[in-house]
Amino acid sequence: MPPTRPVHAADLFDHAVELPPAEREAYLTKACGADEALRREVEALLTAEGEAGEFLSDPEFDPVRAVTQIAREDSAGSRIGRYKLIELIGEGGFGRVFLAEQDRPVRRRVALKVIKLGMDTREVIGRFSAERQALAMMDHPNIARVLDAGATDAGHPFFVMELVRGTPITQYCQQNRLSIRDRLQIFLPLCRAVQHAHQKGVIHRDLKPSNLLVTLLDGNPVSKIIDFGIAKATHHRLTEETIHTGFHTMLGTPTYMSPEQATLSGEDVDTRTDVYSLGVVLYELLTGTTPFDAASIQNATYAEVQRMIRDIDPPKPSTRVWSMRDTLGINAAAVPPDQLRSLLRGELDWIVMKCLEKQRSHRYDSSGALAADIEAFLAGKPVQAAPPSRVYRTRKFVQQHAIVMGAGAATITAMAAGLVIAVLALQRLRVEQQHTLAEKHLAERMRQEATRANDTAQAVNDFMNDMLSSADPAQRGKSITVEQLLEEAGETIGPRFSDRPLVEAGVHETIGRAFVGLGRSTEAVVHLQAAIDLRRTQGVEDEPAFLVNRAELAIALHNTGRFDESRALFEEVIDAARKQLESSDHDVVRAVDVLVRSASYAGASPRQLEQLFAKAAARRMDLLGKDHPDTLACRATWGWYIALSADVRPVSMYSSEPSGMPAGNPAYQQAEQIMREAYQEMLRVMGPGNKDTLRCSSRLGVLLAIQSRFSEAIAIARDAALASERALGIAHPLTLNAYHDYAELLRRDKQYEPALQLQIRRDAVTVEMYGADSNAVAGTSHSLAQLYELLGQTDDAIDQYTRMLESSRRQHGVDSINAVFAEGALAERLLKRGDHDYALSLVAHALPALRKQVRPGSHRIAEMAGLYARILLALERPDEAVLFAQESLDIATAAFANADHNLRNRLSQLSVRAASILARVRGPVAAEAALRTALEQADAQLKPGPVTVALLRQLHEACVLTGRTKEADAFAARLAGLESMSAASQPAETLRAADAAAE
Amino acid sequence: MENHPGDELTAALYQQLMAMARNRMADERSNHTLQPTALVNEVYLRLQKEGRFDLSNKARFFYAAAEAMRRILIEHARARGRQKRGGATRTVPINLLDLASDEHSDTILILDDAICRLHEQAPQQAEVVRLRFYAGLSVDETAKAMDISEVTVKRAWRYARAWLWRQMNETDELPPDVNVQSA
Repeated sequence: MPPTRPVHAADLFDHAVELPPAEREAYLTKACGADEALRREVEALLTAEGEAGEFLSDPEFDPVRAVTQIAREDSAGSRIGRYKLIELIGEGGFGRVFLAEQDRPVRRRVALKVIKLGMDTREVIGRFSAERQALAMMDHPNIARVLDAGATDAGHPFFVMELVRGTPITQYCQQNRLSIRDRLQIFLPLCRAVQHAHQKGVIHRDLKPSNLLVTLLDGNPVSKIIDFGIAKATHHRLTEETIHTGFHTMLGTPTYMSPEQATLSGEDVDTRTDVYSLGVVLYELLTGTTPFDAASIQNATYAEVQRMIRDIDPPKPSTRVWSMRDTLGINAAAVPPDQLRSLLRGELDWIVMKCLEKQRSHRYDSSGALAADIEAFLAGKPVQAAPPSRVYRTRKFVQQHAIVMGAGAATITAMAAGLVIAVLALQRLRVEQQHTLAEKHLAERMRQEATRANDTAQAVNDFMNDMLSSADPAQRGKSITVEQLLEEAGETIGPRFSDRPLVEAGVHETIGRAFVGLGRSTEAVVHLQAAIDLRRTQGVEDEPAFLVNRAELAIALHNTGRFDESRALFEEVIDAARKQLESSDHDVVRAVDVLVRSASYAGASPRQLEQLFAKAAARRMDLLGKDHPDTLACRATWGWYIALSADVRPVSMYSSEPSGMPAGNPAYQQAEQIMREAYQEMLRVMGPGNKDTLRCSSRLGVLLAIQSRFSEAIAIARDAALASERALGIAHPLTLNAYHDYAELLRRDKQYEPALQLQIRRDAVTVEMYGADSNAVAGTSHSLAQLYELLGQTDDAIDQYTRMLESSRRQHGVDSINAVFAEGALAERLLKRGDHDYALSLVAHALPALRKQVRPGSHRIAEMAGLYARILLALERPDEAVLFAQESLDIATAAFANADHNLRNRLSQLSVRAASILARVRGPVAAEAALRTALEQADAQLKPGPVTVALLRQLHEACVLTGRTKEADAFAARLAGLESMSAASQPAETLRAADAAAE
Repeated sequence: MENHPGDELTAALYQQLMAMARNRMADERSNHTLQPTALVNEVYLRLQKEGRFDLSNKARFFYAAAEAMRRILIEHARARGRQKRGGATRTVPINLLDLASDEHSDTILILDDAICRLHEQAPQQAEVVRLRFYAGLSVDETAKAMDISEVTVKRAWRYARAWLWRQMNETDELPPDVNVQSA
């Protein structure tokens, strides 16, 4: 259509289109003359007119009329049924709420809500009627009753409710600048009310601030829940267009929606759905913002929102307020951000995060339980909410590192890389190599199973496959997790295999193992135990293939803190494995696996292990060939144990005493040679990013380090770390471990600054990849703490110990052994800094918690009691201090005889400290026995130094005071010999000297 | 040695689950249509919000409603993105509700563009289309709102429909006026 003729063309068209088709051609010939283009134009329009059909016309739909209809119905003054609309009091996407007046049967004012969503009114009212009975049974001061429902003349459903003229709870709290405590007080009855409704069988499904109103009753704020029963009737759920089109006004934002609601199949809601929504509201009350930023939800596509709600863990409230400290969140409430953060940190974080668990089974099972925890928090009692345990935040990464309490220094050994978890990497990193690796291992395992006991393995395999395919997300929403799958698998085993106990055992073992991998040790214990029990009924529990089952149970027991049972079981297993190794030609590999795994937990003596590994390595060489990864790994480990058994003193990279072992020890030379050879082959065969290769390099580093060959050790560790990073990426647990080794060697070489830089990086990567709540943070923060301490940055060290404590509490629970050790470590530093009250509160919790978890004579109790005594002394509570000092001394003394070298070191230091306290409080005479005990131990363990001098001085004084001149002279003679070496001259310095020796 | 088969098993399970979830996502390609009631309510709310809900001047109200509807549809389509290029969807006879659906998110944008171009050449016809199409006005109402005769409305409507139809089915070529202008 050239622009010069459009009107002309239109005129011709208008005219031609009214002519009968037969006459059009003649008309156009005449009208267009020689203008072919014009003619083509008009002809095309005529053709289009013929084709257009219903184009752009829709007799069914008349938007303007519909719009005006809505308007008419909505105006105050009109009536809906027996209700007279008085005033519009609210409106939202759903429709509008009116203050209305009812005149019969009673005259009263009510709230009337007209729903304007596109929905089948009859169905809505039907659903409401179905729930009516349940709604009628609800009678709670914090619930607004729903009184009636019906349809307007225009066909929209409406609901009549008890009139609540209030402010949304979040707004109320904000406007009145309520304290956190007051906010909780207002929130609490809502939880109780929801619980009440749940007991009557009513789920709200749409809890959000605009449904949680605060109204003033006689000047006191009362919170009320409105809209109970309405969400269900209106089938309130997210539909795709609501998010896609920005039609948020229609259904409200999905901010308060639970993961199970966010999946489009959202039918499957239960009471824990309401718990989730309450959690979101609580989050908002505490932080001033919702877990997922409202703006990002508004702008996200549906798939993104769904993913957010389903997969993303929001930051803890304390983290959130800190990250928002510059903007104004809750901080209308004039609480300084750091104060708010510390207020939220711990219990309130846990309570909120427990509500927000993606998986319902991890949330509070009722809102009553939520209420109880809030009450407990308000009352200063312990809460039920433990730090969240997430599927993919494996505990193993750090749990494998046994925590060892030094004399005041908690140490995490970092060498055991045995339980590094692939899932982590899969979940967070999507490392493709890992996928392949995992597949290969699975296939390998399955293959082995199949050769061993084909039908059993097959049946197990089939079962797991069955479980997988039954987990078809199409049937059950998309949020199936491995954990859920395993839980379900666990529940369906029994009936299915009642006649095939070995198959059933195999399934239990597989599931148990997977639970071990997920860090859910309690469940793992149940399944692994079930497998053993079943095999015992068949008399095969001692078969080599099943021995590993028992070793795994022992590991799981260890992880749940049942150390004694675990150790006993390990010993059994080691014994059985050793016998098999002697007698059987088959299954050597498996027996060795069991042994190795067990021995590292059970603490078998290095020499025993060295012999076993020598034999195992030889067997593997015969059976598998010399280049087989298992052979190489076994040889490398053998080398390691040669080194370990070279000396009665166990080698530990982290032992507090310099080992002082001579370089050039022939055992070391042999060990080094074997390990270096194996290492070279492993690099070639298995590559640098391999667990066993890395373990070998790590041990080689230690072996060099204990001979003070630091530069060689550091070079190997650095190469290993870089190679691992190249092969697996920086964030892979193995790489992080390798960097840890590297940093530890630097630390041992007193290169604190570079070590710190590495640890800071490791920590940052860990937090980024595994989350600030990750269990691994306990390990990284501990490493940082040690380095800050060595660099004299006490405050930074304390910050890190605090993180470590929080992480341990979160991951393992407040009373867990990890948390208890962390409390001890933190308290030790707080004492040093002079924060005596805080230190005391930590140890006051730690000591009784510790007593419940370790056997009575454990040196750990001696350590904690000793710490307690020192804190009490610092607080000038000497009478209590001596009690704990005495306990510490008694335990240390009793344990001394059977302890190994390192432990004796620690015990003697404990005894010295305890004796010093006793001497200081009661005087040298009364403490003489203690001082003598301490001296004996010090003489046996410690180099003569200030500690010995201080003890001798006090004993000397005791003898002088009691007139035993001969003995006094003997002490004086020893003192004279030592005097020149020591500057210690005042009894008051004894403690300090002992402290110095212990650090 | 020291492998934890459990870990690898877990990993493999997880991997399979993720694969299943991905497939499921792929199946769930959206094809949703704005419900007429939802659409109407949105128009209503928007007019309310903008203070243009004023029935005292019908003509003005109708224009406002048509404009609100138009903007909602276009925003909706833009949010969906222009994924479906090509002629397939364009040849289908369309009405307002069709256009509110996903698969026509392109079409509504093309159509609106065409109406704008029509407006440059034949403003009256384009006005008629906007009122009738976006606001759903009858011939009678359109005539009153525009203060013209019903015959004129009908004529304009017929021409506009044919013109737009042609545009909608020819957009694969460059529009003729572009040729002229660049010549």
